[in-house]
Amino acid sequence: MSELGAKTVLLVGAGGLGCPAGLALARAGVGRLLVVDDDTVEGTNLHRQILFGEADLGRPKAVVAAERLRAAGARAEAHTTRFLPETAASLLDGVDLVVEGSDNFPSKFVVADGCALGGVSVVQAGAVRWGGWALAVQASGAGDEHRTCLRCVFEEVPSGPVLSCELAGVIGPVVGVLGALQAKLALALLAGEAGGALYSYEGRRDRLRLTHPAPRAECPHALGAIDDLERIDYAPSTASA
Amino acid sequence: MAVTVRIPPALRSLTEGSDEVSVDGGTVRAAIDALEAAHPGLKERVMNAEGKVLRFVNLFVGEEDIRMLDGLDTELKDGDDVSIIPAIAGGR
Repeated sequence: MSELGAKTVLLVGAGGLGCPAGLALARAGVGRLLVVDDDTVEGTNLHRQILFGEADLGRPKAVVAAERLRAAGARAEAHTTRFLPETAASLLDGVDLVVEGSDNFPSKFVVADGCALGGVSVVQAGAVRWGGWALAVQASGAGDEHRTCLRCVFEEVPSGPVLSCELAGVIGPVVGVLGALQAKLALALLAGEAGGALYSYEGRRDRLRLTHPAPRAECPHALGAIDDLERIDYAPSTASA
Repeated sequence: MAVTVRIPPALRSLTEGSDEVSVDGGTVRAAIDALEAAHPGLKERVMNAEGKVLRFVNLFVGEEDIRMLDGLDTELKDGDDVSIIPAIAGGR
């Protein structure tokens, strides 16, 4: 078995990001893919969620995605649940890397915190309308200095009006670009390359910006201030709005 | 000191759909103030009442995060490019 074939990647969200990312990782030779999603396929998903077709309407996304990823060569398993503080540890067990493509901030922060506590690398992304971002986070090993994570870049669950794909829409190819970018970043991390890359993509102007934000000294993970996900309030912040 | 501020999709309803706005400003703070004067309501989507950048918003001058420079006091030069990058949640 190749080195990549021995890796396990957890896909959080089988949507516009998770579908292209999962397919790319399966075809690249990642051995085992775990798909976490508690939603079902709807007609409005099909323009961007490329693992699904009309015959799948109403079926669980995780189940259908796992079928398609098995057809693409990976050992894939479906988990029709959500990545929550109480499910994080069991979902991360034996996982080498997480690709997070959920559609809400609390989930993104739970995944970020779970991966930080579990020492698991993660590639996170978000996309709405014509733009989005992707961040590669390399797990900090025991004794390592803290490495740039979601809480270094976007410090807490945002307050105020939030745009989601369901409410604001997203251009299919835009979320496809970011999902493919997540797969590329995941393969780089699995190959041992460093994380810390933050991409910002503006599809209308074809602008892809790459920056490397430094770890933030006040990040709660740098300070060791988060040690139990079930004690964290993931409700949107109002403190800084 | 003319600089270009790149407006993210989430804030374009405040700029009549424009994805970039040219303003005068010698620092990032002055550029945000000029942006507010031209497009009221934008500043509160970037900064809080205490005048600090919201925790879930990132500001870049060119390729540099202003956290790594002088924050809102980062000096700008003619032709600089300021990007507002808020957290975006969507993805499913």
